[in-house]
Amino acid sequence: MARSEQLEAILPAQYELEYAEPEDLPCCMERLNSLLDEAIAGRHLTRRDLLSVLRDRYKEYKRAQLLAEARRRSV
Amino acid sequence: MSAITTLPESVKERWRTAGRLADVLQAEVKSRRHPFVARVVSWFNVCRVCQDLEEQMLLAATPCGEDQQLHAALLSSAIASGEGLLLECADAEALRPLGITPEALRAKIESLRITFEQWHTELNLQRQAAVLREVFGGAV
Repeated sequence: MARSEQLEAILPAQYELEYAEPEDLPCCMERLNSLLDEAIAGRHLTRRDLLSVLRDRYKEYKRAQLLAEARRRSV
Repeated sequence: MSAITTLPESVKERWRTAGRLADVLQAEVKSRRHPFVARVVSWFNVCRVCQDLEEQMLLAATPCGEDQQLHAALLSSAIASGEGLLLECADAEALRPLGITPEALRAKIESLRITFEQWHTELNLQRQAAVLREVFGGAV
């Protein structure tokens, strides 16, 4: 997977984990971990390190999702 | 709760409502008089209160420090009570009525920990830029 695609996949995977129904949580966690592992492979980083530095990108992503959802609801 | 007397009224109200609801739900989570599955459902509702506050903070033009403080407190408390439920959940069958396994609790706790890390820990901006460059190259 290209680096930009990796990044674009991690943000929605975290969002899906956050909003998953309880029965879907393990599957979402597994997917996020797998993407993170792929991104940090061969580097001295942990999954948490990577998510920590992605904080600003993730907040922007989540905010955009919330605004889009609010717009959909108001239509 | 005496600190809230110095805050704007709208923030005070949000603090009071979210805090009160979380307190009620956390009492349910901790009350061993209730069936285990009911306590787990209450815990998921505590998580939802944290999430709701976070959404308000993300959508606010300028989230205030007190909201951040409340968010950190609620998250810490939800992580702790989730860990407590997980300890009580040695028998995977205990969650069967909800259609979930202990892995679901574990995943939710990890999600809360990630959120805490992203919202309430310090970050060295140079290190952040270096890691993003290293992992994603020019994609960030």
